[in-house]
Amino acid sequence: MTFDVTDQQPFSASSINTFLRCGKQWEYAYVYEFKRPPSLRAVIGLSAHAAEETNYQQKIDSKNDLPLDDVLDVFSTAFDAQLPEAENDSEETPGQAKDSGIKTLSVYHNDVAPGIQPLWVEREGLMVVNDIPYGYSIDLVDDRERVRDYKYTRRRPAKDSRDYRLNMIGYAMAYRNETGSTESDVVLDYMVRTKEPYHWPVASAGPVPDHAIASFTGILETVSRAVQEAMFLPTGLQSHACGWCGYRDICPDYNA
Amino acid sequence: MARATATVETEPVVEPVTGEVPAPEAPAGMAHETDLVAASLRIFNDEWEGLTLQQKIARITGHVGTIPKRGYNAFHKYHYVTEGDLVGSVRQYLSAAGIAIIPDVVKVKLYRENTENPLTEVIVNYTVTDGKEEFSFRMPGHGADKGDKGVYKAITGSQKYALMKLFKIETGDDPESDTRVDERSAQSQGPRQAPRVSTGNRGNVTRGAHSSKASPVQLRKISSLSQMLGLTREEVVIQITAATGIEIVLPDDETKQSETIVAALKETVPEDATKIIEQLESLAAERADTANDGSDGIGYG
Repeated sequence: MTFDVTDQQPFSASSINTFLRCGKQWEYAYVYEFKRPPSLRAVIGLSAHAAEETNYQQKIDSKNDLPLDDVLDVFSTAFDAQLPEAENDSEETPGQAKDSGIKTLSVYHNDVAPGIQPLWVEREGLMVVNDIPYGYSIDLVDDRERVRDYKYTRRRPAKDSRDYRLNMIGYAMAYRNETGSTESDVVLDYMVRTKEPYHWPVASAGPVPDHAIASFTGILETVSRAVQEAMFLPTGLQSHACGWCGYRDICPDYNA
Repeated sequence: MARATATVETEPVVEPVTGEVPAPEAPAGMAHETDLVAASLRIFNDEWEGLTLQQKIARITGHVGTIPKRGYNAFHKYHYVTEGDLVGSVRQYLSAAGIAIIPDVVKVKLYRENTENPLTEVIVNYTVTDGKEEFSFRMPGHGADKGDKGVYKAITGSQKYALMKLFKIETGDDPESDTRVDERSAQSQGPRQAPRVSTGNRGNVTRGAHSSKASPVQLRKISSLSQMLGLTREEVVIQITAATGIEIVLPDDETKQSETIVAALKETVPEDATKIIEQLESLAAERADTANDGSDGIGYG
């Protein structure tokens, strides 16, 4: 027997990015739903998000930042809760990772957060782009209509980096769809976790242009078609995604 | 045309504009203007009055050469011929020859209204006349402007190309070799239509576009495996129960049985859907092994 499945598979920025990295990786993550433990680096990012989310949520009305200790407390609690699930990192111990996270978050909270008055914090939603469902979770939109996302990274992104490009275009489209207004800018607030952490903002210097939205839509439609046709090519073999792929042990193409 | 004829004898010989292309960055100056006047006066003589309008245009065409690209688009980083230079290059000829080009905007259309990048299209009808004869042609123009200048940009573009095409003016480049246009076209990935975006119901969709229930892609996988294995509806139900323990009661009405299976699958959690997929894949592997054993047996028997 066969049966019709008329529903469209929903996508998100991370889902699209996973597919672009490797079709096979996407198959393991979304068809087989094989869960992988978060990396230590991811735990730092998630914990910092939790901390600043707490700060920004109350700041919408209070207009004031929480004391640093309160924010660090949230970070610490979130970090400790997620640590047992985390995958070991060969580059730093959990203790080093936590210290680095605290130091970096302190810089963010003291230097960056005071300049941001949030309108939206961790806004989740789903838009339908040319009939394809697309889920999103926007970190932040400030009162100057800047769509923002913060990322913790160990190295400063390259000057011509296109990392998170699709994420930001999708957020801007979602903002426009929800408000009918156009974002003034999209900003990636990188926090670089070096010995002396620092803030490295990457902004688009204006609204997302039409050609970027056309590109985003084209990629979304292409990925959707490929998924519908079950075309899960092991493109990670060429894109070097296998090096840090959590599924490589079970991937027959990697082990071939 | 007496004025032109009388002057031609006293003016120094001036080569046509072709070959005198200054560097793009050189500013337009009075000397350039004067040279043009001189050049324009030289082409007219006593025969001029006997020429048809088209012949006059052809004569002027022979004397207008390449126009330097003095304009610079800092955003897209390219040089272009300004409307001022273009008009300046032919104005003197037209004036001396008593030829007028009269524009008439016959159509204005606004595209991508209420977007960040509205586009105005105009169609301009140009009537070329020397007072005795006339002919007309149309030239479209496009102008992108968020404010109120779209129409004027479009008319300017139209006039530029009208003059360029009427007098066969060279600009030193060819649209076919315009890689910027190609790049921009490639960027657009087809028609630049704004995508249809609406708000959907997040429903079962969780972060990262995972789902709290079996996803469409999982259901499709189960369907394709069932088809590949040639399973009946009853057999599919047996496999689902074997994998997950979920009991599905099929209705007597056979037309409703697939619907019942799909409805039950949609209510399963993703982990159970994975178990069903793995169950069916395991069955497929078993059958493949059996088939291989059989063929081996025949082959070596």
